[in-house]
Amino acid sequence: MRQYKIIFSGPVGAGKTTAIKSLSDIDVVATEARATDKVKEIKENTTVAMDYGRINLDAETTVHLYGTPGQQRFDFMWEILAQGALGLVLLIDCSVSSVIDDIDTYLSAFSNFAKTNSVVIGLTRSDLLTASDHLIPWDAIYKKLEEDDLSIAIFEVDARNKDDMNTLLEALILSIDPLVS
Amino acid sequence: MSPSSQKTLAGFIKTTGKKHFVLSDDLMPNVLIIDIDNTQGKQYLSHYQNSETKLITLSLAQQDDIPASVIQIQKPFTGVEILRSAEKIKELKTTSDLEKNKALKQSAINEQDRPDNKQPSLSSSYDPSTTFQGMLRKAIQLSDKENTPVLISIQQYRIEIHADNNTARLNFAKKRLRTLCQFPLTDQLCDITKITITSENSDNTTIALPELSLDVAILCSRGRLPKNMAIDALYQLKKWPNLTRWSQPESAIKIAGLWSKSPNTITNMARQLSIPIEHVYSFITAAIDSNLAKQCNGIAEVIPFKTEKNNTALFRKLLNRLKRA
Repeated sequence: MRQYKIIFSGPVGAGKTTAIKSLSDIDVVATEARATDKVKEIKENTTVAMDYGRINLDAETTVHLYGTPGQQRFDFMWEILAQGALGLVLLIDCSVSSVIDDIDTYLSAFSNFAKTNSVVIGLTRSDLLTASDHLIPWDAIYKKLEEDDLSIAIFEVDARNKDDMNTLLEALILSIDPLVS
Repeated sequence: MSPSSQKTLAGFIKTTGKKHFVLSDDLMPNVLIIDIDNTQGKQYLSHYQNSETKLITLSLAQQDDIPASVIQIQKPFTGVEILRSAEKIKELKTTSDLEKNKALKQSAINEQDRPDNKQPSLSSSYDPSTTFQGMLRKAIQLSDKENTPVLISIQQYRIEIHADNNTARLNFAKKRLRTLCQFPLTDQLCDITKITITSENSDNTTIALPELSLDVAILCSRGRLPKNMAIDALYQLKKWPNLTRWSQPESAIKIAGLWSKSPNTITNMARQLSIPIEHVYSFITAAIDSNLAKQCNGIAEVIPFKTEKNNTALFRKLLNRLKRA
């Protein structure tokens, strides 16, 4: 049996659990608890250990999908979960003013992992920006990635949308091995 | 063509030819009849010959350098010849998509195998300065340099460029960009002016400038390379385009995946990915125009990408699964 894993990380409320639900072949195992801190202003429940989903490719091959808890006090778990992973999917809520800081925080936290592995970024909740007649700050985002000398896939995604999540994973695979197809 | 010829031809189409033609002001008509005995006509011909529009040319002598898909009529001509052309167009329309694809693949192979492929062949290159792509570039540069919004006006279409916040406002739906990109543009047809008061109309569409530049370049390129871009130069992808929401040329995700690894040449990318070179032409044209890629100076080199064999089968399965889902 060959087993592989892909990690989903990002701030609280960015859509990690939803993204895994969109991709998983099984019902997602979530370790949710009632939020007690600032998070309760965003949502009632939050992931405290990890989310787990699975893509079954055939009887012999499975890709496990792990979602890290979003709160920074659990950051000790992030790199532990990422060990041995094929790649990392960062989901960042682009409707908040801290979007650049959030990208910075998560890229720094996974900097060791990113040195030898592929990372893609999904910008979520852009529908909230459109509703308020705002645009994604592409300029600032691109500038940030350029400063870090990173040429990584960064797409607008709806975590509920399977096509979006498939495209993001496709970009992750082609970032690892562009000649595979 | 001269106003009198135009009047005669329009009169004929409205009467005897009305079963075959309908006169239209559409910028992207199904059929375009052009007099190519003047500079403007020749310019229209070069712009439209790679578009979906079927062309009928009127000239004093048969031209050898015109593609076979263009119907040539020698002057003086009669209505019968115009009607015969309409019948020919009907026949041409039945050409299957399969044949078109075959031709595209063959042209890609020819392009890659040409011994002198330092530059794309004439039919694979175009001059962006006489397209909406060139006008947009000019307007963005002006807005950036003068630090003021700039208005592009083409007939009823208006595009405000705000280089300061990297946005553009269109007074039309984004899908209409296709029309603007089919039409050859000159400074007479396209007005670019600095403005101080900007439109507050809530019906306007606001989009990011990289998105607009990318869309316009893809629509104008249509699988061709701007004439000043070298096919053997090294180009580097600095940023990935937003491939889930912005327009994307064919094979975009594969090209971006390979290109993000190291600087590369156009021919090398097409060869390594086994894709038609036209796909790379479109992608690179759009990426350069939207400032997502750049041409490298002499110091850069192609680092050949080597696949690690361990996970190839897994990635292939996973990709198939994602595409099938």
